Amino acid sequence: MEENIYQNIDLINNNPLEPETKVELTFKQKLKTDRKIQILVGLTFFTILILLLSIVISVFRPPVKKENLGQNLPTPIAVPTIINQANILPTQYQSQFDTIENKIKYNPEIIPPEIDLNLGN
Amino acid sequence: MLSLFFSLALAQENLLGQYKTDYSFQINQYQKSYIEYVDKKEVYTKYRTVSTEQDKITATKNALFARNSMLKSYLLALRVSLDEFKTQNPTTTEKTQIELSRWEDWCSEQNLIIPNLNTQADITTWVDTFKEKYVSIQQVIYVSLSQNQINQKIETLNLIKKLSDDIKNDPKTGTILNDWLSSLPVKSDLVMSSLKATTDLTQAKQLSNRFDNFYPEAKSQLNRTNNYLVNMLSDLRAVAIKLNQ
Repeated sequence: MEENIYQNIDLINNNPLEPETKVELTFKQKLKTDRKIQILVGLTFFTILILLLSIVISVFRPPVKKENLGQNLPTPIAVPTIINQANILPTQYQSQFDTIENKIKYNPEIIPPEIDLNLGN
Repeated sequence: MLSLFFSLALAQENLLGQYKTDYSFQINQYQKSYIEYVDKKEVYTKYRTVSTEQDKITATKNALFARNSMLKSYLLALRVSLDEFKTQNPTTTEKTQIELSRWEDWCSEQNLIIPNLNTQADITTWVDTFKEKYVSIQQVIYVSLSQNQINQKIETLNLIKKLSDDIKNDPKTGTILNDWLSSLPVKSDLVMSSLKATTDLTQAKQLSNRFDNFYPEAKSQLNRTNNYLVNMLSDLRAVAIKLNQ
């Protein structure tokens, strides 16, 4: 008896007699369906737009006049502080400076005790 | 006369040192008795027997006694420390010292009462009274700490002013240096206004059952004052160096 091979005629890819073939989509079709490509295209478009805008602005911007450039400032260099050196102070004021400095540094604070107020409860 | 003044000052310093040492000793005593109190309390909570309760009461009394002794020694050290710069503000400082002395006496009195507390109910009543009183004690402690530092800053400011006058009157000081010194009165006013703000903070009214601690804010004002003083001294140093050139 001859064997009957059945197939679903509505779904071509389900045809067991033919191997499944992938249909290549065009870029337009991908753009309509794939969200990632949509985002990528959007970002590229945005970047190009900003690039063009910056070129236009730089072209139409008036050049900076030479007189407005100002003079070059010297590079700041850390200079060692020497005013704390005792020997450059006049000797007659030396002891007064020392007394005042000691007074400023002195901390007369006596730290109060830490007390547990719930002791006994 | 001068040697008498110096020997008195030295004796004062030694006395303060002794009181500070005593305060440290009392802190140790309190910590020891507090640890024992915590142990006995835990044992009583676990077994709830008559003997463990008695042990807990004894440990509580010892800890309360030690705490009072520590507080008293602290108040004493604080009172003596106020003598250091008292001359800058004798009336207010004396008033604060009297107040401290009153609380020292109160602590001594309480140490006579504590050995007679025999039940947990007695202890609870005493603890509640102490909590109320401690609001006032904290107030006087922080007022004293602030007052002492205010006096110290005033003394420093006066020394700076004296030095500034000396430099001004120096024949080497020209008109340019006088211009340099002209910023000192402005900074001196800033010092005084900062000290006034500190005094105002110490005079804030307290609620009867809660201590509102003004000291952190007072301390930040005092630190600001210190910065002004450092700044003034630095200006004077610059002027003095200029004199030497």
